[in-house]
Amino acid sequence: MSVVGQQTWSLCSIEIHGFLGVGDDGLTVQLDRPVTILIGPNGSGKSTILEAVEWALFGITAVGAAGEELRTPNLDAHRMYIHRGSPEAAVHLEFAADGHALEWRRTRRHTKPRPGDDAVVCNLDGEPVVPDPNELFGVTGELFRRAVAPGQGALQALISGDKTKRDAALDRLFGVELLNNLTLGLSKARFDLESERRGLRAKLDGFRSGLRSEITRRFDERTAARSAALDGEATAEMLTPAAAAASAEALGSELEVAVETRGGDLATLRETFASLRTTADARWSGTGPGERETRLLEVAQTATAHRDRWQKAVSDRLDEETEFGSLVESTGTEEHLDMELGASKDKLAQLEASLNAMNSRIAVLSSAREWIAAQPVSPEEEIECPVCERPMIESELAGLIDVVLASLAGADGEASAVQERVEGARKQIRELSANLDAVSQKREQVGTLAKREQALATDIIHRLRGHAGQLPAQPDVVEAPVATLVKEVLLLGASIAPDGSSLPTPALNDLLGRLAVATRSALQQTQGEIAQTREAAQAAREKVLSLERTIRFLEAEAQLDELDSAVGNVELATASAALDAVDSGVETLLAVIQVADGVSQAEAQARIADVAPRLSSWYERLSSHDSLRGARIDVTTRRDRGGSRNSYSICATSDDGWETGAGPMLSGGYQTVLAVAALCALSDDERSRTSLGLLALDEPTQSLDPDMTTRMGHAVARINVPRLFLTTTEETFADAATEGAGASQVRVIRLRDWTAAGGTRTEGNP
Amino acid sequence: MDEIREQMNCRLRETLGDDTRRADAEQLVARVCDVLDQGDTSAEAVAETVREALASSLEQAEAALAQAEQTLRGRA
Repeated sequence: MSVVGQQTWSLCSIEIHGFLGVGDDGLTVQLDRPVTILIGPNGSGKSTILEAVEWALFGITAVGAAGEELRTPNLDAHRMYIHRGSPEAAVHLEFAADGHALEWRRTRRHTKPRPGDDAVVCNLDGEPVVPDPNELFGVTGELFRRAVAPGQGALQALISGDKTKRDAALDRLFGVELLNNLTLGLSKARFDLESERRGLRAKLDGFRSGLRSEITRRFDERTAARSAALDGEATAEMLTPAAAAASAEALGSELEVAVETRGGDLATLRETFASLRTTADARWSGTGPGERETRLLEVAQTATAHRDRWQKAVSDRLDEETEFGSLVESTGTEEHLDMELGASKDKLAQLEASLNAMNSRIAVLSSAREWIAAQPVSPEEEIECPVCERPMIESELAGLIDVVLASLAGADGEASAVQERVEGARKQIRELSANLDAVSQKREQVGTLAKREQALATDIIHRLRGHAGQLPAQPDVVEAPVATLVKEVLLLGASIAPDGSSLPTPALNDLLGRLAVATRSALQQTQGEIAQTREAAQAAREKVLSLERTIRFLEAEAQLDELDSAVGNVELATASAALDAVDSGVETLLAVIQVADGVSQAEAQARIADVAPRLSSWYERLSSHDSLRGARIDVTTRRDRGGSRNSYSICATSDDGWETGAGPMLSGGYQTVLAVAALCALSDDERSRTSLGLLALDEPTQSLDPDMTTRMGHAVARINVPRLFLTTTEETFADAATEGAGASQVRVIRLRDWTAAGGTRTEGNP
Repeated sequence: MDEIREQMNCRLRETLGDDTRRADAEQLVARVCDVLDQGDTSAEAVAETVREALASSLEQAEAALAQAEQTLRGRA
């Protein structure tokens, strides 16, 4: 079809059914003049009619102020275009170009609301063609939204106080949003990749560092093991597996143990070492001479220490017996002393009786004397003797009694002599009793010592009997004399009576003495043998320990070798190579990011260069400011989230160089003027690249006073485009546009207030 | 999109010349532009495309490190 892409198509008619606020009754807008003005109150559906054109062509519309396409799998989100209660939404567009007619219809059913399921029909001069806006009009959805029908969102973003929003809107209007997303996405990927790469690199470095640390530790262990090995019998030449194997074999031969070395295999050497060590330890702790030494030490203990105690008891007993003999010799035997004591006691009894009789006579005579003296008679008178009752002269009788009393009780009287003899007898009795007690005690002491001697002798024999049970049945030449003497002692012991009376002390003493000598001799020989054995065992043990130190060194060296090889292991090398590849990829990505940044900046600069003169021209046409008559747009680049961002500056300028952009120095009305000028300038530039002769400005009079509104109406009506579609709430604007373009060039369509029952309706419609 | 692709490749030629990375860079640009051509123009889509392009090297590195870790643990 030759007309495609070569003609400028004018939109002639819009027919809407069941779309957004337009009900099933439908709405038709004829664009039969160059300028169409939709005028109506807020919410009457002006923007809906513009959105119907966008939806019909592209299946979706810009969403919100951001102007982004609705991309979601959510069915309800796509179903929202269908008027509430309607089964489907349908928009029919008619275009004309140099005698050619093009019809375009999109229908969306409630049951299949995805854009891909829409029924889209396009007929060119009655013949169906592929419904591709880009193919037919050179317009993509993105271009449509920024150059054909920027929408209220774009205008609001341009006059927003938020610089980020303004920059984003201009990026979109300039068509460099895609490039921005490209650079941002590349930068984000770079950030993520570098983060991941750093993590992996750190892990790899950690492995390598850990290995190096481990190698250092193992190296120190190896050095210590080598020093320990060389401190022993080993020389540097012996610190090899083969030399260790030779040492093990030599030691095995010495210890009479079969060993396996397998040419120095470390595991085998370790097993061999364990076997050799067990053997050497057994030799060290020893059997043979060691047990004999134990037996002989026990016999020696009995034959010396216990014999000494027994001999001491014998000596004590003999000393006591000697003392007893001497005592008996001086005092007499107990029998003799006992007899003497009896005789002395009899003699004492006789003397005491004689003394008693004498004392009685003295008492009688004394009483008689006292009676005579008391009698009232003269000394010459005769009185009767009170004792013999014979009459006697009183003086003679008294004299006679005095003489008798003097002989009895006088100082040298008879009674005094008897008294002395009584005292002597008593003394003798005391002495004899003491002697008798001493002799008896000594005799008992001798008996006690004899019993102790007996007990010790019996204990010695009992002990030797126990030792005899431990002696081998066939004692060797060293132990045989001891065994013989033990038997002799036991034989002698068998003859001892239970009361010890038959204790053969000298014989026993003699045997025990000989046993002590024989045991001492055997013990000396045994300990000599043990010393020799231990010396040999010690030597073997030293060799075993030396072998162990050598094996430890060889193991430490093997572990070190293993770690050395681990450093260069295949996995780490692979990881390193893969990370190098990632590094290379990141470098490539960096190059692409730089290129994308450059393209983005160049593109923005190029667009600015194209648009800047038009912007100033449009601002001059729209502005009535007495000073700010021109406008300027610049772009710089700033870094944002790792990528480049365009930073725009749109300013109104004065002849003397003063300039101001969005902010307190520029009123809301002039900000709108500046934004509309920018939209018009951008559209001028972009429209030339399409074959769709349409420009839609949705309420460009926001924040404008009546004069500014009028000026805006005059200005925009002169835009050179086949079809200019304007919406407004202001009659002033419509009037001015009509005046500006000429009444014959303008179709004004008034919309009623929207109602739920009727939806969007024109005043001509019922 | 074709214009952007061409501009980027042109600049890559200028920047990298005969550098061996140029082929990789052009391949990366082609992959990203293909995604953009398909309509998903978000920065996230671009980032994900790049991530996928370099995923094999990352995965290889991760796998090799995991294997190395296992090997070294076995030796320890």
